Amino acid sequence: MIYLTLEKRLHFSPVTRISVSLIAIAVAILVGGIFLFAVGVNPFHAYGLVIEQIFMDYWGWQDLLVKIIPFLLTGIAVALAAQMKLWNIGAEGQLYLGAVAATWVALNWGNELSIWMMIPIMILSAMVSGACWAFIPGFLKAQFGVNEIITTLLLNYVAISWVDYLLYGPWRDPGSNNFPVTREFPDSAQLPAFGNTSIHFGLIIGLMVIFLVYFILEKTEVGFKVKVIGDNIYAAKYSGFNIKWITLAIVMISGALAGIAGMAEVAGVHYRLKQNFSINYGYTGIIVAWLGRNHPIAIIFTAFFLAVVFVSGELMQLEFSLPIAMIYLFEGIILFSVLGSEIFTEYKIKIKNVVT
Amino acid sequence: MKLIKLKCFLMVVSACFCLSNVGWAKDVKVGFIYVGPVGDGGWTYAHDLGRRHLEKMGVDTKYVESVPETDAERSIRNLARKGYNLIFTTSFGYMDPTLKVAKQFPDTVFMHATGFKKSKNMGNYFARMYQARYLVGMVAGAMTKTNTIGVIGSHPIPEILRHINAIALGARSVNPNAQVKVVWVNSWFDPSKEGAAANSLMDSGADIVTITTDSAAATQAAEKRGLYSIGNDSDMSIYGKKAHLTANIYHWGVYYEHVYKQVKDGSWKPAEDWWGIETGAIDLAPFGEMVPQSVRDMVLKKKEEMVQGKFTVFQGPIKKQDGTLAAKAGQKLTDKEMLSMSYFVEGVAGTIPK
Repeated sequence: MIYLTLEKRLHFSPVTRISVSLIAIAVAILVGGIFLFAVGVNPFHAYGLVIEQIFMDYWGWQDLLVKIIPFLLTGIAVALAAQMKLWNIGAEGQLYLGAVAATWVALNWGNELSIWMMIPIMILSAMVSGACWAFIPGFLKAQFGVNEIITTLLLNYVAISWVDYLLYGPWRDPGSNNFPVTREFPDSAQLPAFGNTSIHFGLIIGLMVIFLVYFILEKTEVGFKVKVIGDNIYAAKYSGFNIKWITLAIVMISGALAGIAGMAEVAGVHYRLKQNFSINYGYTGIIVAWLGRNHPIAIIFTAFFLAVVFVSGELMQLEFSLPIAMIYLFEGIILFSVLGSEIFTEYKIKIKNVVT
Repeated sequence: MKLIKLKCFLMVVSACFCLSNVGWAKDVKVGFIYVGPVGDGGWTYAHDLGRRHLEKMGVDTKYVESVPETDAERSIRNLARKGYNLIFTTSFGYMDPTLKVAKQFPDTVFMHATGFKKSKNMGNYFARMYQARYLVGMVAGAMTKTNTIGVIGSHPIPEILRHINAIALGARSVNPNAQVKVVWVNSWFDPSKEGAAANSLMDSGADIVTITTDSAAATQAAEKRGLYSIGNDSDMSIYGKKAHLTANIYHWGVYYEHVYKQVKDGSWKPAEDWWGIETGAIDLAPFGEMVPQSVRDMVLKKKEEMVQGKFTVFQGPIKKQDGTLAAKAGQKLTDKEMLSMSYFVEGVAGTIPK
């Protein structure tokens, strides 16, 4: 008899990680292609169109680079916490709270300060706000060991309800015909765009944050400690690391980064706070981080890939009149194959020949 | 002589060129942006029936469905890029992105539903659905046994307040004891929330439910309980044969054909269209079997009066919830007053989220 068994990998090299991720993407594209074929669309034609109309097109690149911004920031937020084996499912809520703080600054001080003062203050306030929101699960985890997956997830709904309250109540724009949106931000509170495009300065912020996190993780003592705690918490305890404080700090920093994502969306795209301004960016950040195996630099690429998926969705609708369900299906396949591939980063398949 | 010949020749050439240019511009392809799936059975489905009406006329059309209001710019621009030169964006939240894309594509005509912004190549449109709401309100007022009509509120914007008020006025015109109860779901399309809201309205005594949202969930919930419902935007009777009294519906096809022809012959101008029941753009769905002939006759008579301009829905005296007058006896509300309505009339039991 021949058995397939899983054997734990003793070392997992970066090459393994990258190749597993690439295979996961390839499987998703392949399975997606089969589904496309099943509904009567030539998959080669479909994927060719994606390349032609997104990668070889002025507008296509614009759309991509706008969409990648929230993914970069929520992706790195989730990945940083995941370095310590902390699962921040609450990036969505932290993003909302970041947007709330930035909006407050924009609406209250926007007419008095110049853009050079406003943008840094908005970023800082978004970070503080996101961090404070993450403090709750962070503290509960550090002090009492409460499962952060549950607390961060549930706080998302609270955050969204907060935003609803503000939009239906004190912050509603009197000129909006009762629609739940705030006033438009003054010019000084709008993130500048590159030239004539809609790509805004958030792209630079996102990339800077990613390199900063990379630097901290790889080159500083704190980063070293974080990784040790993530790899082996007992070793970390033996070494006398202050796990409580580091846990709290990392969860809060993670929240702060997600907060910046919220600020970038309201100040760079919408110029006002409105309902559902985040189209599950916080949750998509989880996929971005997983697909990139929580490596900061890899996240740039996986965020890019997810942006392609997002943007190509309506291309499929336009070109082939595919229903929206098909696009949801495709996104599901990607998540499925990414999560399914996780096992292969830690285990390898061995073929055993057992003589009976 | 030669010069004259040359001139003539040039004139003929330029005339041909102009003609061919006009012929070229006449090739109108129509794109639609939908906020829900085409199968929502309500708002989006009604627009899609309008689109299919154009298809039947041989027009090249395309739609993008379930486009989030906060991420619509790209989808609208994609339609414009692909050469769709008449684009309908069919939800309020598309207003700002439509305006933005309209600036980038000055040769494309954009029509935005339910909004109030205009530009050189962007107009807006809506239909006076409050008229049909008044009529379904009459049906509800005549059919309710508990004197309680439940309405699921979507967003507390003037459009929705106007519609709920019209239902209340219609119901109380035939049944002065009728009350309209409102539950808000803060969403356009959320079948599970709508179903839950319908159930809580029926728990609190409503025996007829209607909606200002887009899905047929309330009709399904009423069917399950053996109570009545009134559909919205599209005929929803297939979702609950025994529950569905009637529905206030759109026939967008009439309007889309009108705009298409305008764009085609070059007479289009950025308008703010608000079509009434006399145009056929709004109507009632066929009555369910349980609606007695006397009620049908009464409602259809009122409809005829509206069509002929003899009856106005928002004509005083209209009392607000708090007892103050919104309109004195005989006074008709202006379009502007209706478009900025921010109160409930007497007979509505519910609050407007502030």
